[in-house]
Amino acid sequence: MKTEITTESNQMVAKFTGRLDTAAAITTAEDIKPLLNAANTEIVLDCSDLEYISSSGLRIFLTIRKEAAAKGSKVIVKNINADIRQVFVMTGFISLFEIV
Amino acid sequence: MKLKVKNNDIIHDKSGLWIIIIAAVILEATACIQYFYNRASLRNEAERRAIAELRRAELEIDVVCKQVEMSVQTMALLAERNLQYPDSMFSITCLMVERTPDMVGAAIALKENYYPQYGKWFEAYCGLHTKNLQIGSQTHDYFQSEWFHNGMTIDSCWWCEPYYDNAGAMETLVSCSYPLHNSEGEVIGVALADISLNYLERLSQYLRVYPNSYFSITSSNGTELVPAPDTIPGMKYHIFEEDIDVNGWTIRIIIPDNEIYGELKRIGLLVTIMMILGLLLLVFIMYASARNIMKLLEANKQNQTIESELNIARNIQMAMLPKTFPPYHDCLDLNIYGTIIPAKEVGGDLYDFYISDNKLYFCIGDVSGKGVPASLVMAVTRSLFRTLSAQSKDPAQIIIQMNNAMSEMNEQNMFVTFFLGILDIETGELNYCNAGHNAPILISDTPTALPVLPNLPIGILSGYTFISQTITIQRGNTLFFYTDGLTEAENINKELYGEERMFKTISEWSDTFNAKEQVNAIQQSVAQFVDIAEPSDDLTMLSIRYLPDKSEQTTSNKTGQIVKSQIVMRNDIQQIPTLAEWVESLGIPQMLNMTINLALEEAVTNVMLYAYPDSNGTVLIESLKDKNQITFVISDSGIPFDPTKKGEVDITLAAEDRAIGGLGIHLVRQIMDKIEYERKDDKNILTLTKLF
Repeated sequence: MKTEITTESNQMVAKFTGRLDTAAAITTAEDIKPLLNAANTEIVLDCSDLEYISSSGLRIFLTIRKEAAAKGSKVIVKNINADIRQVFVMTGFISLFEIV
Repeated sequence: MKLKVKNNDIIHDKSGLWIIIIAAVILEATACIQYFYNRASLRNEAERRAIAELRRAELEIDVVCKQVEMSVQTMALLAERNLQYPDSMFSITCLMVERTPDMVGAAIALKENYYPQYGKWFEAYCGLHTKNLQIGSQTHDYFQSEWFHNGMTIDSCWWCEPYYDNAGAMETLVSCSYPLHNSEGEVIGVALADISLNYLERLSQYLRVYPNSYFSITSSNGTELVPAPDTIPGMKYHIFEEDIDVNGWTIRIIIPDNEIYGELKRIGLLVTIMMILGLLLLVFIMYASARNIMKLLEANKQNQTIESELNIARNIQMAMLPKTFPPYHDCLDLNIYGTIIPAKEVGGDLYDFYISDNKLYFCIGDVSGKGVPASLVMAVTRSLFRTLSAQSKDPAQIIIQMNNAMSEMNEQNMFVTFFLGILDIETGELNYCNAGHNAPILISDTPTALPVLPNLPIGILSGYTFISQTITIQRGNTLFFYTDGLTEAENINKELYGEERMFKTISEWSDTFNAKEQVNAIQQSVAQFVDIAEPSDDLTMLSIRYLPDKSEQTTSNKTGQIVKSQIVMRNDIQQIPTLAEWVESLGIPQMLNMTINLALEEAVTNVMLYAYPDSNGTVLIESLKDKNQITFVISDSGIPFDPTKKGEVDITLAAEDRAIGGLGIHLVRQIMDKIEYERKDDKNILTLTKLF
């Protein structure tokens, strides 16, 4: 599971690659810490290469969302596949995020 | 000819001897015939020459005699005409002597008292040096001489016997008498001529027919006119003779045998010597070639013996290889096949394996070199493997002992590349040690080379520390071992088969191949590549397949059979990916795979978190699948924890209001059709069911 964060002028993009299961979530929680400090930024969570997500991964997404709301940032979830969409639907996350 | 081949094997060969004898006989007979023919022709030649010369000599003598007779008759004629002049008798005789060659004296002798003035005797004589002598007297009473008497009575020339004249000429003379007649026809006297026989010397130019031949002339009474030299006793002579009609002499030509045959004898000797030498050469050649043939036969025999012994050696070597391959009735977890194709009758490659105590001990090796020396070292290596592997469980230790033992007896500096492995059949753990051998191929999804340390081969350095390695292989994996006879197989263009081709052929194996089919596929590929070229090295291959456990076998559910599976997990979040793999292997319909995986992950994670918060334990997950549904039973022996008791999560809340936790069990409830919890025998038992 790989997390890559790139920063542009007004944007932070976090690209996830692989399976975000309970075991991988431990590392990923550390990796996304920069996003939690971003204020007034657009945070893009690029899920193009994300194969799988479990509840631990969802928790991380939620944490990012909560912090962004507190800091005036916006969170966009990008390119989730059908499996992950199904999980978002099951958990109601589908309405928590702007999904592109 | 006798030739000794072995101590109790003597061969008599008489045919060679007969060849020599017959050749000698033929040669000698030919030479003899030639000799005698030559001899005869030489003799004939000699005879011809002698006779020819004799005739010429006779002719010469004849001529001389005739000349003398003519002279004497002329003298007689003249005398008869001048009888009344007694003085003219002297001049007539002188005339005769002057005119006639070889005449040394001439005389006219008249009968008693013919000239009364001269008295009783009258013999007018003229010699070469004495002239006009009347020599008739008391002392020289010629009336008694034979020549007078015969001359008077015989009416032709009468030749007397040669005699030595010691009164006058001091040489051998012969005289010729002729009667004188008066006018009435009465015989009144004799005309006489003395002829020197010196002229006979002239004949020697004719009569010396050979350089060392002699001649003699004898009168009819045996008086020697030309004496023959004394013959040497013991020598042989050929004598040719001719009688001269005119005076009864005999001319002999005496030729020593040597003169005639000397050349022939010399040549004959030379030929005989050459013949003998030739025969000796023949004998020598025959003897030498017979010995050569014996040597060849012996070598051939030895070759055949060696060949048949090599065949036996090969059979012994092949018998050292394992004859049966698993699976056995008491070991169904392995499928093995091995083969060695030797380049010569005997080779230096080996492989071996045996199962003991639920472990597979196996090895593959390659002795440096080929042929009988390599095969001997191979046999030693194999027995060391068998003996030492029974005593130790560590591959490195076994090889260290093998190495020390073999380095000590290694005068020929032969070494063995070697791979030794011990596979725990239950767990799939492979302990191995590679001593300089080709890295084996591990085939799970794709063929890759097994990681091997660069230990030295066996037999190079006594006391070397070999290091072993461990890897765990999975059921369904194959281990493929080979020697460099495979990768270094050459075709006629001197190209090598190489690792690439080997990997390619391995990746083309069908999944249904058993070990034998796998090995055969490689063998065919190599055979095609090598084609008509001569194999340069032994080709050895060993394939070990670690078969899936029959009781755990999972197949797709197309036939609707009931399939059971299980997995045991430790209390470790890091095992979650293993869980995912196990779910993958259950053959669940593809579209449900992710959600069932997710549900199980959430359930198991909760068990790990809540049932074993701070202790080690295991979680057992059993699955039972039929064509309608799949059921998972998750059991643990942790503290009592009932996930179904957890309250529902409100997923309609806004992000700010959502609780961080609780999603896990929510997902399980969402995904699974049935969730049941039971606490039984101190165990939490959670049953999840998903209908298809």
